[in-house]
Amino acid sequence: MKRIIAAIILCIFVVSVLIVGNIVINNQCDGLKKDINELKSDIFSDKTEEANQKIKNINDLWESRKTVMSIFSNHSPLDNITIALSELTLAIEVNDKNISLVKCGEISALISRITEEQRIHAESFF
Amino acid sequence: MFSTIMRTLVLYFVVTLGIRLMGKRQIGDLQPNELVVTLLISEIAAIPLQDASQPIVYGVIAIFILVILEIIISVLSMKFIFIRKALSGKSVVVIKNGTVDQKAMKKVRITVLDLIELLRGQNVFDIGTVEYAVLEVNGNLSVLLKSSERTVVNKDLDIKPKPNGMQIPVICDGKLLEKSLVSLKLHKKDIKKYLENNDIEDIFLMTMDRYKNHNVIKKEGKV
Repeated sequence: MKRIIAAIILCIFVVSVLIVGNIVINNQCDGLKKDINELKSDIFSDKTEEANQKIKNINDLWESRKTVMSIFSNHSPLDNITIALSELTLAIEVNDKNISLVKCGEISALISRITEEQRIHAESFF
Repeated sequence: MFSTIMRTLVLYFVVTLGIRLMGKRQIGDLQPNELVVTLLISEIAAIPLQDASQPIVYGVIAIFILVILEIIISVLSMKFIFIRKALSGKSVVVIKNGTVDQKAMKKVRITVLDLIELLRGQNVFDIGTVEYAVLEVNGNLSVLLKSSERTVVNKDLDIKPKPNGMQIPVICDGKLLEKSLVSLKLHKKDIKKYLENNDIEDIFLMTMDRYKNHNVIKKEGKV
């Protein structure tokens, strides 16, 4: 009986971690995606000062987001986003619109990859 | 480096908890499904230790899922014989009525040399003395010797020995074990009275059974 109770408790723990992990990853990714999209539109519209302020906010927020996401997600894509963000920051500072937009696209793709990994689909079995 | 230390500590406790929940068995007595789970747990625990980019929660969740699976399967195996047979197989009689069953040996894929080796493991050096030998699902061989070869017991000689029960520790390293006294239906003062009457002190180990048969080992002198 004790073992069955222990199994039930473990089951609840596992399901809770999976649900919480999914919610956390999706929320953090949605937040970052929204910020990157807003930054993209500022870059498109040549709003340099807003873009600089926005990338600074994104970088500040990214540290706390990364810590939370690293609990539930593989660290490699998160490290890739960190690198891409630092490249994006530099591109915005030197006013290189093309590179800035490319880096925004890269970060969006990396975020999509992270959320894709959390989904249940046939690819993940093989 | 710090993350490696923390991960090692966490996974040590998680694996210990997992093995503890699965129940007590020696490696040699594990059923096939239990052996699979034990091996998988050790492999899974090693992954977050070796690769710091893997979140530790992946390893913990995977281990817990294996433990849950093992508990469910063991409960179902107890309730449904067909599940137990499917997962663990069944024992096979390889020597029956003193005769080696060669078909059964072929079925379980053991050679006669393997059988002789297993018999030696049971301290049987003459196959002719065996009445029955059963190859268990965990690979052990259970042996019943012919009645003429079995050790003589008190019953054979019509001897009625003094009764004895299972001796359990009542004093361990100088400390009185209350739970043991409860199971023997004794009181602390009974033990203390006995020790005073026999002038015994500084006890390392005292064991007793329900018939009050006891053994006492005194502590060695201080080094």
